[in-house]
Amino acid sequence: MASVPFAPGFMTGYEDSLEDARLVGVSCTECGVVLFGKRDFCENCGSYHLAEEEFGESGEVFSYTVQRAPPTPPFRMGTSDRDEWDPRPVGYVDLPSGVRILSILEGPLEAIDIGTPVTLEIAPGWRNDDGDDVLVYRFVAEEADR
Amino acid sequence: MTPTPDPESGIQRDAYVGGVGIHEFGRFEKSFQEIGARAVEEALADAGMSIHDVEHALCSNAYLPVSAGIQVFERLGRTGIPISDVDAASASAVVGVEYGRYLVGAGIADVVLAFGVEKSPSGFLDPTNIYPEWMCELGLSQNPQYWAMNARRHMHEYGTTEEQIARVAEKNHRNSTDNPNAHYTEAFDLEEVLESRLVCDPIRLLELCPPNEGAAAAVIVSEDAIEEYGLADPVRIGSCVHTTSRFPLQQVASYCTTPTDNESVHRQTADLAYERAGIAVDDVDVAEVQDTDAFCEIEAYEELRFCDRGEGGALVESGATERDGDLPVNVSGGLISKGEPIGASHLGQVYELVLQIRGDAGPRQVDGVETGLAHVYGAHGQCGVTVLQEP
Repeated sequence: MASVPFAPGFMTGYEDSLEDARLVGVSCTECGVVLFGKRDFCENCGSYHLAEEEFGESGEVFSYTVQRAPPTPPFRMGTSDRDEWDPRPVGYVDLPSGVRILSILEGPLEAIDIGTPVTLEIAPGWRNDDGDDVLVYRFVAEEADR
Repeated sequence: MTPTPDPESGIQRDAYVGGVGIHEFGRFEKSFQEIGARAVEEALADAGMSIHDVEHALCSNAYLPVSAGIQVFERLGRTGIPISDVDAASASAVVGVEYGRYLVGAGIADVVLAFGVEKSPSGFLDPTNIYPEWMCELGLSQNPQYWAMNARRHMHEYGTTEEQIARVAEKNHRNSTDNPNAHYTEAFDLEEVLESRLVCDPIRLLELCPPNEGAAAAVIVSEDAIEEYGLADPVRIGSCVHTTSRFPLQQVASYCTTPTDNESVHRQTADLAYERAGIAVDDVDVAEVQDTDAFCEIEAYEELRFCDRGEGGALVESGATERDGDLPVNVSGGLISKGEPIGASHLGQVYELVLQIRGDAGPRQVDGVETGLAHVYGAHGQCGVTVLQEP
């Protein structure tokens, strides 16, 4: 059994220890925008002059919502049954490099607001058909009672 | 910077809407071919034409099988004309009107049929059609979550309230009681809207537009055709502009939205539409805008320059966008009550504006409409604005 990231090009350092796992992306040396996930071309300006960048673990919630109904298939991280679903917060998180990424948030709903400090957590989200643990990212509200 | 080469340079003459038709929006035990054919027949009848008069047709849709347009024409007659399908998500029907205007404007055709037809799946749309697989697997794939986060941030920055957002839904549902072509025609008071269940905080069930089925059509004609067919009440297409969002996408599926200095896609599109129609926002007498959820309408007020940024909540609260207000918005009931047959929704807006400009909108009629604006926005940053005017 191995651990594989949720998709190629978004994660690094997960091979030895999840403690060392980080999110990655690129910064454009022409327009300066920072993007989540490796790319060949800049989504903002079309340049191919991109530098790989590893993102820090600490961020801040830019905005958020609560999924009151479960996502529909092919959702893999829990039930798609409305009656068994616990409302789940998701949000946009600003990281120090300037990148803004979408993420599942973790913590009691009352602990999550715009500006709430959050910390990266990378952990197995589900097991794929090959028996591998699929690693996913989420951001945990620092005040959250874990 | 203009996002596309200026197509106005190739336009030698005006284009008009000579006839409109609609198949009501909702859920039906009918094929898309039947639904589409009804709207086309009605539009042709409205223009006093037959299928043989159409020189070129554009079928807008986003969720139908290949060559849906000719499949609709199978029911009306295979006349051998060029019929192509156009997809630009929620802005699909803008492209039909835009290209119809160009074909007529460039002197290539005198009668072009732009029609939109859709049978969207019910409930949340199939997420794999819009999102990368990993976003679906993580469940970051519910459309309302994007609109909800935008609303939440607007509340934080400008003090917009849940009551103001609910007021949009209350208004549009109330307007729909006079629209027999809407999916839902029931009025709900502010309290009922605010007590409906949360879908993605702060957006509630009665504040959301359901994807559904329906069709609408417009016959786009030249002045020569107006004369030849004796059309009494043509409506001029002042402008019709389709653009796509620069980075980052707002309100729609995106896992990375690092801020940039780029203009919002709504404003980029609307400013071109005002410029090409030679009008200012003050000239707009009535507007139909994309109310995918109630907050989207507030954002549209601001991005289309009906008010300053941050003032949208106050604008709806003031009553200015009511049917008897200074700038009535979504007098048809909007997508919140009509539902959104993705490929047809903009032509549904065009249908409403044409009736408003002709003075044929019955109980929905706004006094003295000379200029109407229609705006749509959807998946992958597809945006469009059409300006229609009394000739």
